[in-house]
Amino acid sequence: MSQSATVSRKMGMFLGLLLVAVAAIVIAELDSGVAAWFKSQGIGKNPLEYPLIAVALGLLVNAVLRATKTHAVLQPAMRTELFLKVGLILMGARLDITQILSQGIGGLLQAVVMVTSVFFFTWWIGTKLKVNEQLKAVMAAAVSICGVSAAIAAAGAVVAKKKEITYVTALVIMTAIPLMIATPWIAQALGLPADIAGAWFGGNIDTTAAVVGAGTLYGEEAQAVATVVKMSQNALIGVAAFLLALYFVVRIEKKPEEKPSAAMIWHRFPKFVLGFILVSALASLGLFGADIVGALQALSKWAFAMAFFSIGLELSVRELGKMGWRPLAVYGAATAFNTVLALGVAWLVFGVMGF
Amino acid sequence: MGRGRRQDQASLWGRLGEDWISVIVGLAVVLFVWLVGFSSIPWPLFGVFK
Repeated sequence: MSQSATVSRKMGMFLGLLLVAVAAIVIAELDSGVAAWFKSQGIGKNPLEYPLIAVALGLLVNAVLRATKTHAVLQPAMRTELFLKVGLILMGARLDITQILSQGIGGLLQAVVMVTSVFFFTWWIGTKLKVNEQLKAVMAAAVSICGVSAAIAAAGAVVAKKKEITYVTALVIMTAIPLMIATPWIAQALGLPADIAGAWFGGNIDTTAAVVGAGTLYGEEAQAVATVVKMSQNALIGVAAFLLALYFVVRIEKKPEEKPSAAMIWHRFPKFVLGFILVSALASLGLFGADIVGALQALSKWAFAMAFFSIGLELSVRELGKMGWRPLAVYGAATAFNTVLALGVAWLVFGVMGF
Repeated sequence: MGRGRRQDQASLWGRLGEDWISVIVGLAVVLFVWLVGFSSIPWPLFGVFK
């Protein structure tokens, strides 16, 4: 790389980061404005969550940058994964393991049943439709565990391509919003008790923000149960990342002359999960007060806003089109299966077994 | 491409990798908020996202 290319790369990084930071402020202001508008219309919970606003703004800026041929200049700053990982580490402060164990045995039980069933269903249908192993693993983790965070962890473990991560992340965000609006409405129509409805939202909707949103639309008890179920699923990220790294080293990518080693698994294991576990362990020990947890949660939203904006900036319709209909069909089928199964399991665990 | 790659490997980003950098940044933010206190950050816009 020549000296002038290095200088222009650094300049691109600086200008790009500036753009992302300004965009995050605009997103926060828009989110706050949209929420205030809905409130004035008598709708307490903003159905347009900030991830959607961030991606939409990103897509808009993306189109402008491509039209003015400046997209490539700012590309060094489009660090979607970095922003997401930092946001996830900060989100670890919300994951109180002692709370899950003391209040959420039902949630934990549901999470284990759901994650296992949905993961293997997605894997099976992905194999049937001949989707490649890496994309299949990222999709299975995203639908079965907890959307974007699990997708990022799985992508590290199986060494997925960047475009595969962007593809799955975009699908997660696009499906979370309709589910957030539709599921409380369906639960209302079915006359579901608050705990079963909350468990359904938590087990089914992929992004944490949308889970909380759906729970809020249904009421306080539903929101509390939805959050515990979602937290229980989030807690399984580390386990899933380790098992995926192990499976890909030992089975999928094993060369005949190569002996799988612990070092190979460690090399693949997404290290940000360690940060996430450490922060949640500190929170579980009670080292953070409510103000610190609230502050870290607000900061994680800033990081996520930057990440989702970057997703919109990076999204290339042409690249996504090249992936064909098969991954879309797998994701759609897995989401439908997840939605129906989560309702059944929530009813069984919280209704019949009475957790 | 080879030269560019070598240069990237030599940079901090290349040597540590995005994964470890995210851990360092994330933990640094947690440590900062924990030790310094969030309310002392003089940024009015922080209150917007809650």
